[in-house]
Amino acid sequence: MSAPELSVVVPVSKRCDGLAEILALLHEGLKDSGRSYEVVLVVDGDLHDRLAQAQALAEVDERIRVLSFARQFGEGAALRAGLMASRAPILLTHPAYFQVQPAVLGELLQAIDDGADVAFASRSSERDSAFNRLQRWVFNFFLRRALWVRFRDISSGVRALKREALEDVAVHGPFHRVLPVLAAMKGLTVREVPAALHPQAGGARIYRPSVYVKRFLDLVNVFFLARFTYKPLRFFGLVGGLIFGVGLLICLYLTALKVFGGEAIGDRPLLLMGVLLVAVGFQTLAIGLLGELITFAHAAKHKPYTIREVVRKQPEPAPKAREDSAADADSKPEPTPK
Amino acid sequence: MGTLALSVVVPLHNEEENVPLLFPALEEACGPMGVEYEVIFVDDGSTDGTWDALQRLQPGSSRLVCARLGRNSGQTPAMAAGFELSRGDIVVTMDGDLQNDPKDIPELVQQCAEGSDLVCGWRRDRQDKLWTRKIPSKCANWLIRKVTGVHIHDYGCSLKAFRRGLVDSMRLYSDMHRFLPFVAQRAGARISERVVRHHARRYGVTKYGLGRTWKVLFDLVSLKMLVHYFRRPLLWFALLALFPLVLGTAVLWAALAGGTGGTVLFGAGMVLISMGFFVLLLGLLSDLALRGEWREFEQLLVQDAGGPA
Repeated sequence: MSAPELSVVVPVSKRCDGLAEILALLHEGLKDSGRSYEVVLVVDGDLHDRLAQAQALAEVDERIRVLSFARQFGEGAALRAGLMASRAPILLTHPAYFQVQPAVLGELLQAIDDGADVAFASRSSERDSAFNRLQRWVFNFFLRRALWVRFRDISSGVRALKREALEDVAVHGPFHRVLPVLAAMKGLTVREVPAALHPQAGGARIYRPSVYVKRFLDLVNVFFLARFTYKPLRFFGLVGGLIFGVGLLICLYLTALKVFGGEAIGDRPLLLMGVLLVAVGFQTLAIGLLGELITFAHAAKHKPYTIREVVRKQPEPAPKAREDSAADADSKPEPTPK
Repeated sequence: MGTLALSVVVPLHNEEENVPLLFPALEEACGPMGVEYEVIFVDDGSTDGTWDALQRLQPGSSRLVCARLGRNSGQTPAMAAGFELSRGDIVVTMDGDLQNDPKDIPELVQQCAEGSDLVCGWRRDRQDKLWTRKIPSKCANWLIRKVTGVHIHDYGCSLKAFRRGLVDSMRLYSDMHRFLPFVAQRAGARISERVVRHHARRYGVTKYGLGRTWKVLFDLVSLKMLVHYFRRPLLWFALLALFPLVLGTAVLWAALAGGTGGTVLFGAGMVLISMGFFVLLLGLLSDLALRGEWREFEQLLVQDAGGPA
């Protein structure tokens, strides 16, 4: 089979609504796209029955390929593997469970054709459970506050991307979840495509508390990287400076008490607090400087800008107004041999 | 690919009214120089009609290049993008708000060609508000001069002329354009300055304010450290650790010798000493982080340490 124009990457983990059903949905959504496509199922972890299912499906359909990881590495790694395994210029990602109606796949591809680098499906919430809606709302609320994005729902996992966009954006660890945001921060064109929920999309998803904590920390992480990748000292310096300042004030106050008031301060817990704050503030500043060293050492690898388009214009030749002009230059530029 | 004699790089952010005035002024100032030159406008994520205004421009004597960044990235990255696109032997940067006067360009270029690698404009006669712009600026310039040792009067003036060699080798990010003279000098570039004209802002809103001060201060500290200690970070952290270590030892001494029942004082001394050790450990970590980077700061920042072409 010649190289497909589109590669659909499906990370398969424990949560799965049936591989055959998902494939049917993908075929349904893509049958009118007019593109040749392949489906790469990436089995994320030691999941025997999923792997067996996937391989069985691959045997009957030559468009399906199966990759598997020896242990669970996460969706980001699955996406990367899917990217490496194919050469298609456009990728589509879809989780192994129902999310949105199949028609949106075509719309996502259309958005890419229209010029977007990343297009993702945003779930309209009418038919979803209240708890899910609440969770999503909270997540997106924090996201909007922390970063400057105005997306309504970025976590559906249904996305279309140009190959270069995925190569450019870091999706390791927890960051694949906020891929549209990372792409927008890089200056890529990101389109949000509203999509209706699939009738079989699961009910209320209640996770263990540790999952919520982890997700929150990830958000903090992304926020920090977004704002301070190039200048970490600003963050650490500000925080450290404030702490140091408070500690210093306390120590000065106590010193004044001793020097001018003759009070014994050697036993006061406040002294310990003041010194502790001074030390912690100082420490934070030192970490900021370490951050600057690291940032600088790696600064050459990433350009801090993305040029979206360039328009060049040659100077216009002067209008040949007068036939009788003297032989002096016509201000017509000589074309520079390229 | 032929090279041009001159490139003029202008980063823009929301300057739709200024663009149609600036471009003709540029051509008027540079055309008479009689050389092939290009004007590069970099639209840094403008949200108004700047890009449209740029599309409507028709070059008369220059080669016009209009570039658009994916999102608002800041003045230094926009400048860096302009550098990347430029091909001139000499590159002039300036602000897009008409406060710099294009008429100064030929003189800057002349001075650059006469033997400087970097010519910095000096706005001796600033047309800005006194308290919020001129005075903080004067203080900042003085501080930067003292710390970096480079005697330029006006660090914040965007109007500068660079030789090609310097442009190609600089690694720019964040807000470093303010410290370019410092960095360039470390690399052995010959720097000179020239008084330039300055006009009051006519259209649009200024992008600067008092809040930038702390950012500039931190950048200054960071840059000073990088320049002197990039290759020897452990030394830097060791010096830094001296402060809590010495202080902690003094406090411990006072607690033990004083005998005034200073249990808390003793604890405070211990805290300081342990923090000192922590900073030393950070130094070791920094060596790890920079493993393999044996080059000096200047060599990384200015790869063409051989100087002007």
